[in-house]
Parts: sequence; C-alpha cells; structure tokens
Amino acid sequence: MDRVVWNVHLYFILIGSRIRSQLQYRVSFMSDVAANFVASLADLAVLLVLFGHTRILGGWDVGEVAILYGLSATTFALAELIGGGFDHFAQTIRTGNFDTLLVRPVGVFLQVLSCEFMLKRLGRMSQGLVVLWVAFRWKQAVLAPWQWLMLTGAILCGALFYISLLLVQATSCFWAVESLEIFNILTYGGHEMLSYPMDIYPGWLKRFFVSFLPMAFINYVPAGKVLGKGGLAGALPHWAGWLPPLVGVTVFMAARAVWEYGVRHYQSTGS
Amino acid sequence: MRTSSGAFTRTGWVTVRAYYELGVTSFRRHMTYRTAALAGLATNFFFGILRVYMFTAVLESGAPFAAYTHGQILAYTGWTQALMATLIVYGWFELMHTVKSGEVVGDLCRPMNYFWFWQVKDLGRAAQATLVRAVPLLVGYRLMFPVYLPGTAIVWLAFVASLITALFMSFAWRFAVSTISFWMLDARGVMSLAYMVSWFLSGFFVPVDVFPAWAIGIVKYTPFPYMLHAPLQVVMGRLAGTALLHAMAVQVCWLTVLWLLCSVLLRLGLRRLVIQGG
Repeated sequence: MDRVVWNVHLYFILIGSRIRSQLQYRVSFMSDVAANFVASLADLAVLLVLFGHTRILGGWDVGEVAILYGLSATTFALAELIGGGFDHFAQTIRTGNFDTLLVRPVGVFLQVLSCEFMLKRLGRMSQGLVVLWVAFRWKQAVLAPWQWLMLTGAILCGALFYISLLLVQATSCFWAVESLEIFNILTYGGHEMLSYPMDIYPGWLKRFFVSFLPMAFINYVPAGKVLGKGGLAGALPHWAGWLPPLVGVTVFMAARAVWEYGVRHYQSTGS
Repeated sequence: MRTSSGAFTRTGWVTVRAYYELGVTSFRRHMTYRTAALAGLATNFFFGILRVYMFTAVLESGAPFAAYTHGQILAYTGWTQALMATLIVYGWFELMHTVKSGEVVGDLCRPMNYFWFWQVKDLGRAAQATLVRAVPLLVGYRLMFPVYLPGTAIVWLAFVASLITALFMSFAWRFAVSTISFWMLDARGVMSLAYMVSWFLSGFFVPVDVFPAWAIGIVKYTPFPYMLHAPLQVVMGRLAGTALLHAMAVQVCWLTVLWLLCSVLLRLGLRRLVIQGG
C-alpha cells in the first residue's frame, strides 16, 4: 500500500514539474491553448453548418448531437492530457532514452505516464465542457443524480479507454521502433465517429464498435440512455449505460498486460 | 552537359537542373516512409467513410443541401480525403523547424532563391503524396462507393489546371504563414491557428457553398475557397463554362497576390531573423 501512495505522490511531483515548465513560456503556452481550442471549434462548426440544413440527423436533434460531441471532445482531450507520454513514446524508443528509464528505481509505466502532461489539451477539453453545458441548457434538461453519474462515468472511463489504446500503440514501438500510426484510426477516428450518433453508420461499422471494440459504450450508449433515445441505443437494455467502468477497466487491464509483455521483450535500439 | 541551348545559357541550365534535382531528391526522400504513408492512407480512408455517412444522413433527411447529389457528396468526401496530404491542409512546419534549429542560415546561403528552394521541395513532396496517398485512396473509394466522375476530357484538364494552381496557392500561403517564425521564437500555436482558418475556409470540412449565407458573403472575398473548393467544384461537375473561366482567372490573381505577399514578408522577416543554435 505504501508503494502505491508513494507512486501517486511521485506522479504528482513529476507532473507538477511538467506543468511549471509549460507555463514558463507564457505567450507560446497561451497560443497553444488557443490553437487547440480553435482547432476543435472546426468540428463544432461542421456540426452547426450541417444542422443549418436539417433539424434531425439519424434521429438526433442538434442539442443531442452536441451532447455526443461535447462528451467525445472532453473524453478524448482528457486522455491526451494525461496519456501524452504514450502518445509520443516512439521518440523515447528511437533516441534510446527508454534505456535510461529502465535503470531508474521506479516503474517504467509511471515514468512514461508522468513524462508529459499536455496542458494545451485543456483548450479542447474546456471547449467540450462548454458545449455540454450549452447543449443541456438548450435542451432545458435537468439532470437527475443517476444521469450525472452515468455521464461522469462515461467521460472518465472513456478517457481510460483512449489511454489504453495509446498504451497499445506505444507498446508496438518496442518492435516497430516507429509509432504505428494505424492506431490513429481508433483514437482520432474513434473520437470523430463518436461525435455523431451511431445510428447514421452502416451495420458493419456498428457491429465492430459495439461487439468487437466496444467504443460505442463509452459515449453513445450512456448519452442515449440519459437522453432516452431510441435507435440502437434504445434497443440495448438500460444497464448498458452503466457499462463504461467495466469496459474501460477491462480494456485498460488488457492494455497494461500487453505493455508489460512489451517491456519484458524490449531490445535496445542501439546506436 | 549542354553548353548552350537556345535562349538558355549554361548557368541557366545549371540552375534549372539544380531545382529539378532538388525536387526529385525531395520526392525520393518522402518515398522512403512507406509504413507511414500506408497508415496515413488507412486513416484518411476511414475518416472518408465516416464523412460519407455523415453527409448521407443530411441528404437522407431531405434537405436540399445546395443541390448536392449523393454521387457528388461522395466525390466531395473522396477528393478532400485524397488531397489532404497533397495540399497538407492541416499545417506545414518544416520551415519553422529550420528557423528554430538554425539550419535556416545554410538554406539562405545557397545560391538559390529561398522561396523557390522550398517550393521545389514541396512539389517533390506533393508528387509523392499524390502518388501514394491520393491515387490509391480514390481507386479504393471508387470501388466502394458510386462516386461521381466527370465524363469529358476537357473537364479533367480544367480540374488538373485548377488543382495545380491551387497547389501553388497552398504553398504560398504556407510559406507566408511560416515567415511568422522569423518574428516569434515559438510560432507553432499562431501558425496552427492560421492553418486552421485556411483549412476550414478552403472547404475541406464542408463545401463552402453550404456555409450560411452571411459566411459565404465574407469567405468569397478571401483566397481560401480557391485553394480547394474551386477545383473540387470542377471535378464534381458543378462549375463549368464562363463561371469556370472566371474562377480560374481569380485563382491566378490570388496566386500573384500571395507570391507578392511572400516576397514582402520574407524581406521584412529576414531583417528580424535571429539565428538560433550554435
């Protein structure tokens, strides 16, 4: 137990130093956050432009799709904020810096996790939260405690899901040296896909993201349950909205196992 | 080596040859990143599929949507995803990095025009991107979806001419944005903002003609729709005859303006440039 407390303590010390270093260059930090905020505005603008032409998309109105979008943006930004070290892991491998991590008396997982804390992602995250707030106001929805809980669970466990994907992508660097960008389909692509109701996608895509890689459960299903939607979300039982913790933790455990396997089989890049 | 050939003197040929070799080298250098290209292709394709269903849902709702047909919307998503890498709409930071590392000194000392040095390298890169990213994506797309394709050779020719002009415009814009790094130590954030604006207003995310009317009223006076939207209108068969000629003339005008802008910014920027590194 002491070990866990010590590790958590260490994590906060380390990311504290990352945060301070990013705040050193104030102008560039502010412009990074602003750029990140605006970059995510483009996706929102697309949504608004499309709803300038139609009132309903896949059975969802503008407020409801905005809620999906806000959830997706917040979740993904949170994952990138925390898991940035795994996102940029290829560099650690290529430069041989990973060898340095191995000789330190702290777990490598903790070290990689704490080697980056991308504050600029707060830009996208704050934008997602603002959209959520405005969308719920627009819907004039007053959330019951269970709805709050379901959505919070979706955001936190969704972030865990994305971090797991980043972790598997990072693990692939042990063999491929360069980061396998094919995973971007699942991370960036997943984020994009979940910004719209699953109902607009064809059967094979739905099946893949419900049964095989259960990403639909970290966003679309809980949102559908909270909003009382029909369609694919309505076809699933109510408890499916409570699945994010189970899905998130299971996927994370699996990703951790893959990571540990990778660390054990790591052979230095040399040079 | 030719000593003289018509109007060209020996030095003339050597210069042309140098630019040519630079472009080819850049092409080859980019060709070596095969797995990255494949991953990029797969990602572009997946996003393309998502966008197909997004736009299809809008058309299925019965909205007129600026009179786009299903085939045209399929073509729109296909071409935008295909040309994404060719035009690097999402941003170009190579020049900025050379300012940061100090390499810019070496580049400025070359017996070459600094703008054309980068332009030729970019052409090599664009050729690679078109070959390994755009063409396979479009072929796959066409096999999967009933994409609208123009029927006559003249439309294809007009499209290619318009697209090449757009490519030059896009580079000039990226070069102009990159000169910000002569003034700022860390220009990345500001540059990303500028790229984001051009990315959206060039009609990459949604076609410019489905923007709200007030937005179209402003955007049409900027060069951005001519960097992507205009050529795509040609290949979707939505721009023809005198309107097409007019659009192409405007493209050329904007290209000239952007070139002038680049030369002014470069001149001013070089006065402010502080060399980094040692």
